[in-house]
Amino acid sequence: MGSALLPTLRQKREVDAAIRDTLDKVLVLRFGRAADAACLHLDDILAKSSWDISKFASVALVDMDSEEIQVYIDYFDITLVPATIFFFNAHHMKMDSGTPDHTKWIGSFSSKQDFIDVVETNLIYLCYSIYGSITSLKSSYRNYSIACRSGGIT
Amino acid sequence: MPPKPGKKPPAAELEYCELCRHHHDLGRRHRYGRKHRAKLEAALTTFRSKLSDLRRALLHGSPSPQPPLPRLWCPFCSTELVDLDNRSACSNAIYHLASGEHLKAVKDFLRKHGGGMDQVDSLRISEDEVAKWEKSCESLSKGAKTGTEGLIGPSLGPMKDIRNESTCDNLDSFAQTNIPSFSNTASYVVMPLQSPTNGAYHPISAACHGAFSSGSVSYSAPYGTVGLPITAWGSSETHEQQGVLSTNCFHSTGPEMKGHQSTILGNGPSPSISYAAHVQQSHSGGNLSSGPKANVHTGAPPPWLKANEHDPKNLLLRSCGPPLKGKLRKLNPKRVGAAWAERRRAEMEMEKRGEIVPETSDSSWLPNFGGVWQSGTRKESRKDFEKKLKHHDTKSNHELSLEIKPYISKRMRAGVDKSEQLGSHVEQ
Repeated sequence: MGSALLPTLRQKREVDAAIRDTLDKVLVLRFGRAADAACLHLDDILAKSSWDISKFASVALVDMDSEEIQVYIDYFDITLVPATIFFFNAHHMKMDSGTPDHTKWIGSFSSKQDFIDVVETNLIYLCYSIYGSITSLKSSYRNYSIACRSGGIT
Repeated sequence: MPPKPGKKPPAAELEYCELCRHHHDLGRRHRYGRKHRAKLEAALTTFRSKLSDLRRALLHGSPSPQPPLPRLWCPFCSTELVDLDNRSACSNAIYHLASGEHLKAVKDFLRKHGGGMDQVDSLRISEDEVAKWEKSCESLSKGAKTGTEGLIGPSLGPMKDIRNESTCDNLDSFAQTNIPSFSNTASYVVMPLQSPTNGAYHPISAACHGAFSSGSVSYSAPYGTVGLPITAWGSSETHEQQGVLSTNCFHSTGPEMKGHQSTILGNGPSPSISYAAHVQQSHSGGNLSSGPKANVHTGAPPPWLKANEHDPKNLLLRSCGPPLKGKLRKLNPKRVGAAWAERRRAEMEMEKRGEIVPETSDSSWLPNFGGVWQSGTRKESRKDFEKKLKHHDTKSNHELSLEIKPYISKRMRAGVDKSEQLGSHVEQ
């Protein structure tokens, strides 16, 4: 279901454009297969939360099986699916998710709120550098109560 | 209604007792409980027996009925002291047990869980004992040297060789199993961390801890090499945030790693050299077997930046970006990828206005004739080209026929050409 709601990228050109043209927003790319069970779960979470975070993040799915995408599969060394990778201004954002591999998030999120938290931590780190203060970030939320519940903004 | 005097006082906060392994709300009274005292006594006697084994085996040199355990858990400091089987490698444990931190931890433990403070000395190694042990170590090492030089009696040489061989085997097996995965990636080894370590991690489980102490050097080496170039991939601009991110990437030389390295190097100069050599061999072997792979771990240039590297217009755009307007002025110029965002925004605006042709990776820009690009002989391609050229000429003739050009005589044309040639010669 989630794969129907979110844009799916199947060509390198599309992925290039998504990474290069997403400016001042966190870009979330999900590398995986739409038929995979874990991917289905993750897609559902991504689709449900994509509107809430749409002011500061955009989400897209990448089909691992298409030939052109293999460049990215090799570059990011994706062996386990689904793998979620974050970008900001064409910069690959690394994060410590408790595994030795800091380049990607492997697996699904247990809930929608978890995903929003992860994107927020990416953004909260950035927001000081983007907006100068946390308060100005509040206005960029679609649903302010989400941020309050997650404890991201106090 | 007043509370009954015989009733319990209001429950305090729940506390966890490590010895009894359960939560209680009794506060300080818990340590006087029968079960707690029994557990405390058992824990202290176990530790004392291990400590006495260690003393017998290492300080006095007398052969103990049981060999000392390869590791000793210090319940006071909650740390594990490894490699007690080798005489010189146990220095880590002995120095720990004689340290001030251990003494403080023992006192805290006894204060928390009960037990008399007079037991403190029996739970640690005194400085006098350490001094004695150091002296005996020195004398032994001298004796060993003389023994090996004179080649009289059973020297320590063969024993060391055996040890080296065993460690080499460990390293070889280690290289066979783990090094290829490192040369490819670190993501094959995905393990959840047991505790927050701020990036430093133990790649091997406790089951093969013996091999770990010998292999930690080689772990730190590939991670050091992998972690370094990650800052290099970024585009021309570098920000503080980028630097922070890249340093967060791999903390290969954490405090734990250093600790293990020190225990390894405690074995003496010759084993450490052999370790280094084996590490290099195994590492290069791993690389040769799988081949160097350019990916995010090796700091290769990202694929999305390769597309427009050779575009000369981008160089111009770098210098002249349009001024920010409206909301964008609020943005911090030092944010991650600020220069990229400004450059790309300018590019997109120019594309919108039609000043730049948007980049397309179609194959249509290739000349679509001839066998050079597709198939067939060169003669065929020549014919094909001539046919198309004729077709093009007839088209252009129609266009040219409408244009009116002034007549220029051949002599004048030749004169202009000559003057141009002369001018070029003078310039040269």
